[in-house]
This record gives sequence, C-alpha cells and structure tokens, in this order.
Amino acid sequence: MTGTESEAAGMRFSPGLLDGLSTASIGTLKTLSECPGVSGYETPVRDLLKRLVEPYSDEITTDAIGNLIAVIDTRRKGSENGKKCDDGGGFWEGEIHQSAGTCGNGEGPRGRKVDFEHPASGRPVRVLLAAHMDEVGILITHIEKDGTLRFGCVGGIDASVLPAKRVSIGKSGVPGVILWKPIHLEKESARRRPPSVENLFIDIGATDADDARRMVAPGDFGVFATSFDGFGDGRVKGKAFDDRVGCLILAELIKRRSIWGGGDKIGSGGAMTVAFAFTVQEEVGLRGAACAAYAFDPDVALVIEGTICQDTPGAKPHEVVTRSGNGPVLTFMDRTSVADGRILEELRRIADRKGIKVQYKESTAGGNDAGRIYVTRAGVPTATVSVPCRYIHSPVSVASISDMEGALLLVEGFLESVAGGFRP
Amino acid sequence: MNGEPIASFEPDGTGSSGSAEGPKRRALSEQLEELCLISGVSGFEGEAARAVLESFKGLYDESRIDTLGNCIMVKKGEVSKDRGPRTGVEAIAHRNDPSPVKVMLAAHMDEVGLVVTKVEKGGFLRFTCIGRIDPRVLPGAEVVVFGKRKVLGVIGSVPLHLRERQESDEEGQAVGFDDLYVDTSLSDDKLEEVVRVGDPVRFASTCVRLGGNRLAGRALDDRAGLLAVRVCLECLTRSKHEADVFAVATTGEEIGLKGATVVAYGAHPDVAIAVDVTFGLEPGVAEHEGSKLGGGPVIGLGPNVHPEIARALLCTCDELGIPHQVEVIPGPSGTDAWAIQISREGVPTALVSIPVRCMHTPSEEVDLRDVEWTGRLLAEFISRLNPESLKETLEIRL
Repeated sequence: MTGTESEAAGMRFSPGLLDGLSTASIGTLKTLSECPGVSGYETPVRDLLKRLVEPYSDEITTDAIGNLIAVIDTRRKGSENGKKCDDGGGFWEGEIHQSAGTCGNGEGPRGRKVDFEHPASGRPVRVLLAAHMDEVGILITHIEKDGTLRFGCVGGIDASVLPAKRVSIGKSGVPGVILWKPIHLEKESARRRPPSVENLFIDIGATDADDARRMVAPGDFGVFATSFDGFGDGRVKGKAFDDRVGCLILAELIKRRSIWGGGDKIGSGGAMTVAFAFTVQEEVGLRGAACAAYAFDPDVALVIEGTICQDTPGAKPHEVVTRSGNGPVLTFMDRTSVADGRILEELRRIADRKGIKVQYKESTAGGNDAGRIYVTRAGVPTATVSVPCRYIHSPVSVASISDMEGALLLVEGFLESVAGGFRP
Repeated sequence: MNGEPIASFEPDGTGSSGSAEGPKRRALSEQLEELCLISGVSGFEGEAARAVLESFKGLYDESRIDTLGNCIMVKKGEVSKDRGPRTGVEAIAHRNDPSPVKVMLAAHMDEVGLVVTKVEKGGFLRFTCIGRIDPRVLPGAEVVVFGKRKVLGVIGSVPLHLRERQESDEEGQAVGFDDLYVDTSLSDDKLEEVVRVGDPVRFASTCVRLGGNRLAGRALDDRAGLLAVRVCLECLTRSKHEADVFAVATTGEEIGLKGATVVAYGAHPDVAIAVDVTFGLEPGVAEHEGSKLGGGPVIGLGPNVHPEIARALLCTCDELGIPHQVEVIPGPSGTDAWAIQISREGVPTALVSIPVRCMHTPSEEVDLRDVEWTGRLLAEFISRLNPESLKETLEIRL
C-alpha cells in the first residue's frame, strides 16, 4: 500500500496536547487512512471500524446500504477493558427497525414515541454523531488491448492530481501507475492543457488485455497508494483524511464513553442514546447518512468532517476557508445545509468553557452529511464540526493533530452538554 | 569480431506476468531498488558516486571520482591485469601501441529533480525544476528536501478556480511552476534553520513491482541503464575479456551532458556505448515515437551513432537470440552519446536504450527483462573486442 518513503519524516507528532489523542490514536488514524473504502465499496474500512469499536459499543449494526452504526446507551456501564456489556434490550431490533416504515413524528408500530418531549416522554434523548467512512477513488471501467486500464473517478477528484500517481486496485491491492506521456513528446501547444480522466490510463504491468484480466476486472475500485506518516510540526499526512479523521474522532469517543457518558454522568438531561454512524457514499451525494438518520430518528445530530483548508500560497485572505492548526471548525452554512443556530451557540460556549480554540469555515463551499440529516423525517437540528484538511480529495492530505484533538474534545463537550440538559 | 558467446541466452520466464518469478528477476529487482535509493539530482550527485561504488563493489579493479563527480570504475581486461590501464597523457602517447581496446560504458546516475528558490512563511517552499519536468505531474506528489537534514514535503498547487486564467482559454490552464509549492508543515523558525535557497529536492516515491516483469519508481532514467552496466560487469566477471572496460556513472546528463563531456576526455576511450533509457510505448505515444517495454534493448541509429558499432550490436543480438528494437534518431540523441562522440579526436560511439514509460515523473516504469538483456548484450559485445576486431569493425565503414 505504501507509495512513498517515510525515512524523511518519522512520526513526529506530540501526543496528548490537550489530554485528547494518544500515540495509539494516531496509530489508529494510520490504519484508517491506509485502509481502502471507495464510495460503494466500503467493506474493508467498515470491517476495520467494526473491529475497533465493537468491544466498546452496546449495539453494533450494519444497515441495508452499509452504514456501520454503533450505539451507546448511557444507562449502561459499557466496559473499560473493552468487554461488551450485555444487559438485554436492543436499540436496533427492538426500536429502530420496528419504527422504520413510519413517517414523521408520532407513534411507531410498536408504540415507540419519537417526539421531542424528553424527558417527559420517558425516552432517552437520541443523539446522532455521523462521520462518513467512504473516500474518493476510482473505478476501473475498461481494459484496453495493450493491458492498460481506463477508469472513472468516484467523487470529486480534480484530474490535475492524477498524472504519474500510484494507485492500489481491488481488495488484493494490485499496484498501478497512472501513466503520463513524457514532456519531451508533448507538443508545445499541448503543454498547458490540464489533464482529463478520458486521456489517462492505469498501468498494472500487464502485457496485454488477457494478462490484465488475470489481475483486475472492470468494476474493481482503486484508491491512492499513499502511506500515512507524521509530517512537519504537529501534523500528519496520508490519504482519505476526508473523513477518516471524523471516523477516528467517533471511534475515540466510543472508547471514551466513561468520560462523557458514565453512569455517574447522567445529569439533569437524563440518559442518552447515542448513535455513532460511520456512513457510506457521502462522496457521491450524501446517500448513506439519509438512511442512517431516518432509521435512528435522532433528536439532535452532529456531523464530524474533514473540510477544505486553503491556507496555502496563492490564496487571498478571504479564500483560505480554514486554517490548519487554528482549531476545530464550526460551519454556519455550506452548499447543503444551514447549521442549527442553537447548536452552534452551544458549541461556542463549550469551546469557551474548555479553552478550545475554534474557527469558522469562512466559505459556504462544500457540503456534507448534515445536508441529508437535517431534512430527515420531520427535521433534525444538525451542525458540523470539522477538521481542516489541506489537499483534500488528492493522493495526500495534511492535517493538524491539535485540530483533531480540539474537535474530539469539542464533540465530547457537546455530549456532556446534552447529558446536562441541553436541547436545541 | 571473434569468440564464442559467453552464455547462450535463456529468457527468464515467459512474456506473461503470471509466470513464476525466477531468482534472477528477483535479484535484479532488488538491485534496481537499491540503486533507486540513491539520491542524485543533477548537480547534487555527491552522495551518488560513493553509493554507486559501494553497490558495484567487487565488479571493478580500480575506481576514481573525477572533478565533475563522475564515478569511473575500471575493469581490466586480460592484457592489462598486470600492467594497469593507460589513461590521460600516457594513453595518448601509446595511442598506436597494440594495447588493449578501451571501451567506455556510460550510464548517468543523475536524476531530474527540483531546487528550492524561495523559503516562504507558513512552512512553504517555492521551487523550479532541474532537468525537464512536466509541472502537471507535481500536484499531490511527495518529495524529499535535502536541507541540513532530509525534510518530507507535499507539493500543493493553487486551486484551479484561483489560478490566473486567460479569457480565451476555455479549457483552463494547467499548473505551471508558479502555481506550485512544497508544503513542509514546519514552523517558520525550523524551516529557516533547516532549508536554504538552492537546496535540491527529489521525488519521494519508492519502487513498486507491476505485474511479473516490471518495476515503477523514480530515477529509473537512468538507474535502469546503470543496472544494465552492472549486469554487464557481472557477466564479464564470469568470462574472459581482452578489452579494458571503463564503466562510468556520469553526472549532469539531465542538465546538458556535463559529466559525459569531461569523462570522455579523461578516459579517452577507443569505443564508447551510452546506456540510457528511451520512450516506452504507452497510450498517447505513437508507434513511431516509442519502443515496446519487454521488446528488448533499443539500438540507436543516426548521426550520433557509429553505424558499424550499431551493426555489430545488432548482429550480437541476433546471435544470442536477444530480442531487440531499433530507434532512428535523426538529430541530437539527448544522451551522453551526443557528448562522447565528439570528445578529443572523436570516439566511435553507440547508444543502447531501455524503454521507459512515464519518463521524468515520480513513477517511471521499466521491464526488468530489457535491463537484463541490455546487460548481456553489452557483455557479449565487449568480450569479443580486441584491437584487430575493432579495427576490422570500424574499417568496414572507412
């Protein structure tokens, strides 16, 4: 899977900046980053996440379109050493599946109340935290006579990052190179022409089409072959930080359940049912989140994302969107949703109280699962907490560890806040 | 030409990538990966010469590194074993002696790369290229900056929608060097301390095997040629040869054949062969522009190449059953052969090339069989060389 050497960098992060992420957490991010999971082909990353969070979850389910949903009920103790506690009662079988098919508020078929009248209704408040596990990538579309492969992009990839890059195809990870005609043979007039996917081919070392067919087939997915590593001062580099950083934060929160949701933490807000949804197909139209949100029927939702970061040369001050290292990002609005003002206000208060430096996404570009979740059923108050990721949707993205840590603590603070009675 | 073939050629595996991998192929692959670990951006080959000497240990009798950093390894022939090869002025004085033929093999060890032109606030570096690099292969590439210590970097580009665009340009413009920068993510103080303007930068990509016979990596232009020279020396170690072999890893090829110019003067060979890479056929490269990967060594023809040496090489291929291709180059070959040919009073020069796809990018690609075949061809050609045979070969033309 690795396409570059790491001798130059070494793991130079300083863990535990804010009592959040540990060296082990960064190791988890490495496995998440290097794992393939192109939209529609999320199985490898879903299996990995399931292994990571199952021991700490009260209930874990893969739904019909592939979302992985881990549920924690704060009335249960969970287990510090990772042993799954089991004291009966299924959030999924007993409640969610049965309520599927109903529309909007009201009584489900089994009489489950899905209104917002908690705690009077007796139903613990339902919180949805969503991070998508899919990543942008490629699909092999055709095998040429000479054994090279044509491909299409899954999700928004700017073709200018493709020439001469390494890819890894299919579950077995067949290595390939995206070919690029030598500059020597390029006509002067064509040298400023940007690359386009129609003119790019992948070489897997096949001598002809039959040889290629022994290694790959049309429909096989491909990801960038990029190794994860520490990078510069306090940053990391790797592929698919959009949104494996969100997956990491969710996985960490599940492990830290005793910190934000231990039995003694049930405050005036009463118990919570928290669903951690690792959604599919975000990159091709926020599709998985729609189903996960419908099924879980949350009272409030938070999306944890990797977002655009353009604090790099060439961008004017108003074009930077977010800055790496300036803390987790609050979004007031993007292409797909307007954040719930009450949640935003609460997140600001939490940041102030905890001393977490936050920043705003100074643009309305991009979109994420929040766009689906907030219009689910009768509507769900939803907001987004993001981690700035430079070179998002390219073979290698760069993110700051302190930003991830800030996002983790901010979302954790939000869970504590809901436990303490906050309702949008 | 005389002598028996040093070894009948047995192809190692079939053309299919599915074939079992022989130990030879694996050894070749590992040797090439080892050569690709060497950093040698043109003009900054200092580390490379010593690494090449280390890698070729046991395959040469004498070695030296000349003023421009060329790494010269001499493998003595049967005649010279006792008295040592004649070089420089001494060699001129004995020009007419029936001394052994001096054959020079030149493969350049330098590689295309980048150089830092500005250290900017925020952990960023601006750069330009050393050798010919298409800026369009750079966005999203990882690099190693050779400052006081090695620093990992990621190349970023000014996003498409923020780039200066001409009204008339409907397709938009591709990135140029002005749109590109290296992100080191180091603090300003640290970057200032570690990296200076003028520091070289190379691609960070490592080697990867593709299919059964191919390998992709950076700097295969011309580490693949260097490996072919190594294969040749290994073959010669197992057989007798009369000629003195000057195996040279040259410098500065990518910036104008600098090393070859001076080493050809210094070594003063009787005959020389440049071992380089040529354009491999790939989508976008027309049939007449490139050679097939796995099709065997490519023998250059044209004004840069002595026709009789080329003919002798082609005959050797035929006799050994080595698949081969021909590349007709009507003008400058863009290889060390171009400089060597007009050194001193002129050197009968040939050019043998290995087809490479994706040339001058972080992911160049070769077929290892072509490297092996090239090495064996060179060894066989050299094993047949003696003063009489060379005279005879060249006389056909005169």
